[in-house]
Order: sequence, then C-alpha cells, then structure tokens
Amino acid sequence: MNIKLLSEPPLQFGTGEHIDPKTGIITFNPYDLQGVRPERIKTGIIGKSDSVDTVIGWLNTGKRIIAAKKSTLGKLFPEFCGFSKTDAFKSEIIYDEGYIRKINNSDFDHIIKNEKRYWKIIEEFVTLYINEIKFLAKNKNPDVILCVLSEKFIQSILGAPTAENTDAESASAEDADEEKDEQDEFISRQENNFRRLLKARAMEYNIPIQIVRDRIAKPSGEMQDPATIAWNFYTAIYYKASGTPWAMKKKDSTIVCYAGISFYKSRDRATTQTSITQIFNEHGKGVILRGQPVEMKKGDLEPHLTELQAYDLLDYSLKEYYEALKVYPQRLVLHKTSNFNAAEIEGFKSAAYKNNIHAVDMVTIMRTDLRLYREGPYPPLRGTMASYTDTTHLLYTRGFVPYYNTYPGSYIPAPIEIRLFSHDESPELICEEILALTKMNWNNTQFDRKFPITIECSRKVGEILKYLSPEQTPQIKYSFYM
Amino acid sequence: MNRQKSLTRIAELLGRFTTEVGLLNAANLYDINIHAENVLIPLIKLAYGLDMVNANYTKGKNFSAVDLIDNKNRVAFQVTSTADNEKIKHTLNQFIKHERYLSYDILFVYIIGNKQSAYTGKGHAEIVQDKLAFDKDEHIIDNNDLFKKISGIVSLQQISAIEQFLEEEFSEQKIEFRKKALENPASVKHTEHVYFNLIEANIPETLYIADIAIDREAIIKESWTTEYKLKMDASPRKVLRRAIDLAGLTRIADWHVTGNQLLTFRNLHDPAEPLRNFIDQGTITPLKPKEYWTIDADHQRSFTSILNFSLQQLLSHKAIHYIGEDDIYRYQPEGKIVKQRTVEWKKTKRAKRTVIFELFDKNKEQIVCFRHFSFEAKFNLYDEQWYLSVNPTWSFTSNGYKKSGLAKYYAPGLKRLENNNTIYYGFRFISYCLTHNILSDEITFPYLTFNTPFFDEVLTDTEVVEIDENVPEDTPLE
Repeated sequence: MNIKLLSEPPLQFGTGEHIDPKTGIITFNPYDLQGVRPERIKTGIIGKSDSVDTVIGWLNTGKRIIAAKKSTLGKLFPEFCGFSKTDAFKSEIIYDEGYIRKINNSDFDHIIKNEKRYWKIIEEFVTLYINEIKFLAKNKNPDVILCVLSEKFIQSILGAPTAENTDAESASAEDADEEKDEQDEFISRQENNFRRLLKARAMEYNIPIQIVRDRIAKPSGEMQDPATIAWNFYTAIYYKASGTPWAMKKKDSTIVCYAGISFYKSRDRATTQTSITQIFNEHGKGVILRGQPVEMKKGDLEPHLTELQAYDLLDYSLKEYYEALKVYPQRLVLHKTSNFNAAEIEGFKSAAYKNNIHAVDMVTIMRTDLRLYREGPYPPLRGTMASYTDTTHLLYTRGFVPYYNTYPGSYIPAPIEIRLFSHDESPELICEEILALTKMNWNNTQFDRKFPITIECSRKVGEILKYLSPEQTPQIKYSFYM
Repeated sequence: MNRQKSLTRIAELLGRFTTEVGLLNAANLYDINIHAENVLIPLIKLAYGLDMVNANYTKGKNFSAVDLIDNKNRVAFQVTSTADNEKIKHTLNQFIKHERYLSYDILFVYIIGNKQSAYTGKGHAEIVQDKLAFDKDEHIIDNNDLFKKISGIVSLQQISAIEQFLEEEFSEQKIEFRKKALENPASVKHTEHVYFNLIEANIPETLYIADIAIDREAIIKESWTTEYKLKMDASPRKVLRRAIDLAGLTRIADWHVTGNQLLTFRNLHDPAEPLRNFIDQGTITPLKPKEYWTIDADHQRSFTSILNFSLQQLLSHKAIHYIGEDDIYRYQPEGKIVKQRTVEWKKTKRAKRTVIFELFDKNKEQIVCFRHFSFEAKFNLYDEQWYLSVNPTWSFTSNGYKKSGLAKYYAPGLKRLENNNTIYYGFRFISYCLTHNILSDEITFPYLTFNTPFFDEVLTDTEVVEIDENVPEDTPLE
C-alpha cells in the first residue's frame, strides 16, 4: 500500500490560473474573457409579484461588492466582487418590464382550494411557471429565466423545512456527500419533485432556468452568507448563459474528453434502468445523451450494458460530441459508478477505436467503507491518494484544504474509491484528473466537491430525465439540468 | 525600553531576510512564491494593515506587473530583487500595458534586498502618465523602509507581534528549510502518519464443506409447535438454525449455507463438533480457503459470508451483537440488566471507555433511551490478504435492544460534534476489543483472529504545506 498527496489542481481563467474559483475570477476574470461570451445576460423573471420585487432588489445589490462573512477563514468566505460589466465577471444582467412575468396570488390559491391530490398540486404549480416560460421564450428569448419561489409558497404549500436545496444555494447540503444521508429526511421531497418537473418540462423551450427562492435576499442563519450565495448564483447564471467561468488546466496539447456513464431508475422504480452518458472537454462543454434501457435480472447487483449497447452508446455519444464541438478527442476517460464487466469493456473499446481514440481509461468511482485517519482534529488532506493495489485507490476529495486552512464540512468526510478496469494513463494522473473534475461544478464556487462533475452530472441528469417522457428529446447541455 | 529592544531585534531579523535573499539570488535560486505566502503577506499585513493575496499563487505564469494584491484597498505590490531603474520602468510599463490601474490605485515596488541609494525617476512620468500616482520616494521600498514603517507603529503589542513573527520565520531552521525547498522541491517533504481503518484478519488454514442432511419439511413443521414458527419457504439458514435449536444445542453463527452445502471453519472431522449432526459426514471436504474464494465472484461472496458469520460469533462472546436491520455491530449490556457499560482498554495507559450511555429526560428523572457505541465492519481482500474495515458509529435503543425513535434527533448532532480524533480513537478502541478479551469470562473464539493494527503509513508531499492545526473559532464543526 502506498500513500501520496496530490496537489490542488489549478484552474484556468481569462488571464491567469489559480486553484480557487473565486480568487481566480476576481484576479483573472472568467476563462472566456477574450472570446464570445455573455457580456449582457438577458434575463427573464417569473414569480409572485412581491417575490419578484424582492429578487430584483437583490439583483441590484449584487451589482456591487457584497461584504465577506465575518470570519477568520477569509479564503473560504471572501467578499463577492459585484456582477457588472466593469467588475471581475465583466458581464451584467439585463431585463426590462417585458422580461418580468408575474403570477397572481389568486392563481396559486385557486389550485390549493380546488385540488387536494398532492401530485396534482405540484403539476399545476409547474404549469403556472411553464405558461410564463413559454411566453418569454416566444416573445423575448432571454438567455436565462429565473423562476422565483416565495418562502411562503415553500413553507405552507409544499411543507418544506429549511434545508438548502434551491439552485442558488446549492452549497453543501444538497448532494455533497455523506451529509446527504444524514439530512435526507429534512430535504423536502416535494420541493425536489417540483424543481425536477419544472426543469424537465421547461426543456422544450430551449432556455436554461434558474430556480431561486426569494429568501436569498434575507438569508437566515442556517443558510450561506450573502457573499457566498451571490458567488454561487452569479457563477451559475454566467454558465447557464453559455459562459465559461473557468476551465481545467491542460497538462499538454492532447485533446482529452471525460465521459460519465450512469443509470437511472424510472419513477415507477421498475427493473429497467436507463443509461445516460455525458461527455465533457476540459472547458466543461459537451453533450448529454440518453441511452437504451437496461433490463435488470433478478439477483443483479448493478446494471450492465451488453457489448452492443456499450458500443452504440459510446459511438453515438462521440458522434454527437463531434457535432457539438467539431473536434475528435485523442484520449477518452470513462467514469462509471458501477464496475465494468468484460462485455462493456469490449463494447466501449471498439467504439473508441472506431472513432480513432486509442487511449482509453475505464474508471469506476464509488462510495467506500475505507477511511484514513490522521493525528489531530482534522481529517486527511484533500488530495490524499492511497493505493491498495495497482487498480484500487482511495482518493480524499473532501478533507482538510490547506488553501482554506480548514476542513469545510460538517461531518467526517468519506473518500471515494477509484477502480481502474482498463487504463492507458498512470493511476496518479487519473486521480489528479478526478480531483480537477471535482472543481468543474459551476453551481458551486467552493472547490472541494466530493464527486467529479462526470458523476455529479449523472446524478442530476438522471433525476430530471425521470420526468421526461421517452418520446421527448432531452437537452444536450448540462446547464438545463443543474 | 521593551520597544527599543524589540525594534533592534526586528532590524536584525529583517537583515537576515535581506541576507537570505542575497544568498539565494547569488545561487540563482530566488523565487518570489516561496516568500510570498509565508513571509511577505503576513508581514505586510502586520506593518501596513493590508490584506494581500499572492497573484501568482499557482505554479506557472506570473501575473504580469504585480505579485501581491489587495483588491479591497486597491493596492498592488511588485516584489523584486533587482533594484535598478530599468526594472522599475519595466514594472511600470507592464502595469500600464495590462491596465492594472483599473483595479489598483497604488503600486509599491518592493525590493527584497537593498534598493539604490537614490532613483532619478527618469522616464516614470512618461510611462504612467496620469493613470497612476507613482512617487519614486514613497512607492519604491525595501526592508529599511519597512523597518521605518514598523518603527512608526505606536502600539507596542503590534511591534511585539511583528518581532515574534519574524523570529519564527527567520529562525535558522526555517531559512534552511526554504533553501532546501528551492534547491530541490522534491526533497522537502511534508510528512505525517496516516492510518488505515483496516485490521488484518487471520483466517484458519482449512475451510470445511459438507452436504447438509436435514429433513427440512419436518423441521419447519416441528417449529410450528414452538413460539417461533417457520414459513414453508424459510431460507436454508433459518431452517438449519432452527434444527440446531430443536436439537437442544447452543446456537452458533459461524457457518454459511450455499445451495445445499454447509461452509465453516469448524473442524467437521472432530467428533465433538455439534455441526456434524446436520451434515452428510461422508461428504466432508477440507479445502485451503484460497482455493475456494478464487473460484469465481460467487464463491468469493460466499467466503465473505462465512467471514461475516464468524465475526458475528466472535463478537457475540464480547457482548457485541450484529444488528441486521442496520448492518452494524452494537455494544450490548453485559448482563440482563440494561445499564451503562464501560470497557477497560489500553491506549498509551489503561483507560475506560463508556460504550452504553443512559440518556435521561430534561428533569433527569427518567431514562429516555440508551446510546450504544457501535460500528460498521466489512471484509475486504487486497493482494490475497483479508482485512476488516471498521467505521465507528452510534446506535440508540429504548431498552437496550429495541431501536429507539429518538435516534433521528440525537444521531446527526452527535455526528456533527465528532472530529477525526474522535473517530480515530473509536477505531483504535474497536481494534483493541477485536484483539483482546474484554470480558472477565470471555470465551476465546479460535476460528477468526485479528492482528493489532496499524500500518504506519507515511504521507509524503513534494510541496511545502504549512498547516495551522488550531481550530479557528468559526471553523465549521467536523
């Protein structure tokens, strides 16, 4: 067994590189500074009248610096730089009255009064928003649409407690990791249903939506501090408006793409699982595709593709990737949350070779019972890599972060287990890339995510695709799912 | 008097700084980044009250024209060891060319070492025009200027803080450390011990396999005459377990049924072995365990099951029970009366650890539930060696056995309070329990034993990582 510490991977910004997204943006501006980018983000806003006013007020506040949280952990909680054409992002949010669509209180009240079935209520609420999204898409074509949820709506109608799980507060609790298990019962299933259904149904209008609670204007104690909320919100908006806030730093000129392969169960929890794949390049640009259903036989512990299904899924994905980016990758890294069997390895390899990719790494990334302990109160450092065998490795993606000078989590962190089923690159490089990919989440500017974006994306996409009928074509961009 | 003493010492230590940089420069080793994080940023904060960050934090490209920046106060520092006017002009040129004046109103050129005795300022005005107010006398500084600035500080406390900081940073040890880091970055390793949560398992040399020979239907029907009735489709394990009960034998857990075969580490050739009553003795086959688990994935799973059942048996002798619904092992009361339980163990000295707590209501009159120390345990195979991974946790019961509904209120808060040390010592304690007798009348289980852990693994790092292990006040609880 062998242990080493991988250094924090740097990210590429407009005029320089840095390990931290926030400092990177403040100092070096967004990655796409010199290219075509969202300098003026046309934004639609939908919601109840008073909530919309609250959020507009908050958007105005966000044009200027928002003070940092009072803390000795300055690097973890820096001030927000302000979102305007002269500040770090060099971008601004624009809208006029025509972009604001207000939903009457009476429309909400009418649904509650006349419908007792919970699921129906959710559907009808979603329809209220969808009608306005449709209008904006047809008449104004904004870059992003903010769907504002009032706190009253959340509390009294959906019965949600105070857990943080809106887009704009995506921070620690939502899907970070082990914390989720502890907090599951506190996270409102109802609200998740609403969010996912809204995102699924909004897809056909081709405009990414951002769900935002009006309480972000007055965050309560258990929420993030105002500056952090602003960082996460504006970074997500910039990305959803087709911007690239930061990119992975390339090691050399090889064109590499990273694909995440996962399965999701339909809402009726049938034995069939559907495969999905996402392919990203180092800028986070890429495509998301739905594959074939996979029949789970009794006794199967995890779903597997047949050789042909594996071949078709990857071949199709690489073609779509080429269509979107007009470039063929030279190396392909496949991440999967379950083990690869012989048929899958064969199928994926054939598809890769057919597309002239001769370097392929097949990597399983999963939860584990294995842990490392240090002396002292803090857990192992993020980047600690323990190799049990040549093909089994443990990687601490959450842990003590020297840059933050703390462990920014609430529970003892659990590492991830990395299994290499077939690899052309060294285990260390593969783990370094996984560490770098944990930073490629534009929903969050705190860089110590547990899973790489390939896996995190799978989960989010699966959750939303469940609400999409088989005949509907899913959006290929991640911004429609995050 | 103290003040003068401190200032004299500060001057000496700043002199060391200048000397160090001079020596490194001479050896062509100087690198701003090595001093920026550890020396300059804290020093400028102490002397000027500015919150600088290193613009070149990451390896690679320099952020042109400035090294250190304070965005809030709009101040930038260019740090250089070259003192001549050409370097100053070059800095100003870069600053203007890259429009740094849009972000920063003040630029200091900080010469580490000694600046020239005088600068003519020739060419400065042409370069900066009206975009930057740059005064050669005010904005080109060196350690002497820094000392003057420090001398002007009124607060004695502040001066002491600077002295203390420099004392630490310019100790011979630190200077040597930086030199080594620059000479050969790979040679300077931040090392510490880390421990796996794995305990090496010793498994017997022989695994016994035999066909089961019981009248399944008769046992199921016989069970109907007792309190615990079996269903006709009861699992083979349940039926065999009931057969053992009905035969009046002590219940044992360390066997596994797969198909119609019994697997165990118990010696089935031993006439005293009770399990012989339930097998076809002519079919007993001894095997090397490895021959069995290497057949295929299914056999490896069966082998893991026999390890798990053996662990359950081992722990039951220590009053630690397997709780199937939560897949955990829970410390149980030693006797029939449910009360607080402590276990004596040894860390560095002998110590007692409470493994069952009585939790009282607000008035401290009534026990509302029991908190049991517990753990998850899984077998893992690495390089032909079996290990047990152990993760401490908590379990709550209403009466020592039945799961308490209060767990959901107690558990998250408790887990939030735990840090690395809590869990690490929990793991060490469990390891101790697995490798020592913890009850006075404990029967030693011979079919599965564990080696006292710790693989002392050393974590190495080619970068210099300075960690402040003191928990700041508002650090989120681990």
